[in-house]
Amino acid sequence: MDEPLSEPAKAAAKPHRVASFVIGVVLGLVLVLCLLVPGPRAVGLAYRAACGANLGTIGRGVALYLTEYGATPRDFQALLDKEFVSPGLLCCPGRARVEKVAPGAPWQDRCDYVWTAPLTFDFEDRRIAAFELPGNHRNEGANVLMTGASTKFIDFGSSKEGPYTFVHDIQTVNNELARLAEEGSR
Amino acid sequence: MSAGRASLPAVFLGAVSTILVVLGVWAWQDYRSNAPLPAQAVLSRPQMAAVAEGVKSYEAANGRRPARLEELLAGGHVKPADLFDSRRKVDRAIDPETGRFLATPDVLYFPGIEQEKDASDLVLLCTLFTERRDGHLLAVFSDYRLVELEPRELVAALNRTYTRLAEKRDDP
Repeated sequence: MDEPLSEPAKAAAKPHRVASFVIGVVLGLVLVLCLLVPGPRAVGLAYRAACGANLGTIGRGVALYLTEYGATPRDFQALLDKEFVSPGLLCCPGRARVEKVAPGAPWQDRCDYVWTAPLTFDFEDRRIAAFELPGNHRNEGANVLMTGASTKFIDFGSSKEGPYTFVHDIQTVNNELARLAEEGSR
Repeated sequence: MSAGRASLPAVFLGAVSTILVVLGVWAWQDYRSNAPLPAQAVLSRPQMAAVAEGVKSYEAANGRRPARLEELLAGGHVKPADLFDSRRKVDRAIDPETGRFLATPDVLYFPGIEQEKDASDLVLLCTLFTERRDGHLLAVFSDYRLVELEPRELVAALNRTYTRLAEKRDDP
């Protein structure tokens, strides 16, 4: 049976209530911090978006090059020479996070994108014009630039077929290039 | 016990729990994003060596490289298991009657690269995936060297390869 607390006992219990209140406030702050401070996952998503934006800008550079010269560039060097893109655009922010390059290094040593040198660059073709290695985004997926300057992130997490589709689409580009090269040599 | 001494441990406990919970959430997110994916397209070094040897023996027998990797299978130069990630079901990837691929092999092949006409540092075969984050990528150069490359080294080699293929296409 509980007995009512005496006045001195009540006074002694007050600091404990204060301490509990402080703990409650701190735990509340913990939850708020967890929600507000971006964790590695959120940072990775931001890098993924920035990488896609890089490829989109490269795509617009290619479209401008095509308008000006009537053909697609053979490599990134052609785009850089004519200043349709800047060297910084060739670096994926996700890769830059884990692998630094010496400042002033040639673009070939710091480039994270592969240009597949498509013959045409219109929406009808729907082929991969440029891609990155999945390791840039912890193998969760890869950004690709399609002919026509659209970009997309092939997400390997949401689709089990994602990695196979990625390899298949690039292999299709390789086969087509080889076929055209062979036709040209005849 | 005074009021001041009673509240200090509580504040300390609260601060420590704050740090622990934040670190715990971050560690969990990091673990989740680093966990190996169930479905990937990774070839091991022996598999890559076997495919490279297959292309080499095909070239020796036919005087040219195969236009498709299927030709290697048809000629018995590679085994189906050499072309696919060991976690994939090979019998579902190849039509047993025709021998055609029902799924694309997990190795990227560049059929337009020729040993005599092209530089030896162009890519003939490569993988795009690694088992671990920041792992090396396997590639076979045109002269059949099997190498492990850093991601940016592979990207540079692939860019050289595509540029060369475009040259052959545009300026035969």
